[in-house]
Amino acid sequence: MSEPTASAAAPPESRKWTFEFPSAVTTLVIVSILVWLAALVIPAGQYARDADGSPIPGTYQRIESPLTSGQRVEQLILAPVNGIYGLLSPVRGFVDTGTVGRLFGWRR
Amino acid sequence: MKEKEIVQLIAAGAADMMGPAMVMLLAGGVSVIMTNTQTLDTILHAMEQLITGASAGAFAVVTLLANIPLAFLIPSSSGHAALAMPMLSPLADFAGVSRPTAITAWSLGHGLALLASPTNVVVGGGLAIAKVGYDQYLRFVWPLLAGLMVVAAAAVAIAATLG
Repeated sequence: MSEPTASAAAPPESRKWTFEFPSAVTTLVIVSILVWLAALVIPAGQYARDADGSPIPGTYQRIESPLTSGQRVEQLILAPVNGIYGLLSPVRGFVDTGTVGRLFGWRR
Repeated sequence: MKEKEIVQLIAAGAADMMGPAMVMLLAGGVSVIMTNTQTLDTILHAMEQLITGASAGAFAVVTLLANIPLAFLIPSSSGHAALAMPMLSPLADFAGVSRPTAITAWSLGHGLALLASPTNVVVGGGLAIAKVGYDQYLRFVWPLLAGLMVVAAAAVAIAATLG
């Protein structure tokens, strides 16, 4: 889609640049993978939530990560699907497509 | 116009929205990864420590500045919002800054970055049509950008301080 603009902007002036900035889609795929890798290292934790779903300051607690390594790989692959169709289950605190509820309800 | 042509034009119009839609769902996916691995709250907790000492005005200005590099990476405002908001809104609650003010600060940061971002289609295309080099454009426009940034930072700082 951005193909024509890229080639229109490219010709003589930007010939000097050897580094072509990747498009937002590529950037976000890289960011997804980096965040997923970081999540392997960062310990899991939880805030208590009020009625609106906002975290309450000072109630943070470390918890055991609920995911097996197989489920973690599944999370990376399904991330774009969950990103558009996933809903936050208030009970499990988990975003997936199996939850029925408000549209965009997980965006607190 | 023939019936088939109309349908084709509608499909072509819908295809134009496919790029932004892909940005949206991938950006949403990033925060889903953080939510489902339960690491989002850990990161919030780390930032909560930083914020507790800071004033509301400082938080609003930092929000504006921190979103500028993000806007370079993700020129689509919807995608940038989907990525930043799950973290920004609880942080604003912690800092005692109202959500509308936090969104204004985010939006000003995003808009300021897009005025100069080479990843912005409007800047890239506009400069190509006007046959102005990007470096030349930057040299011309930076005093304006600096001035706008000072005004924007002052505005969000005052808004956040007044609540």
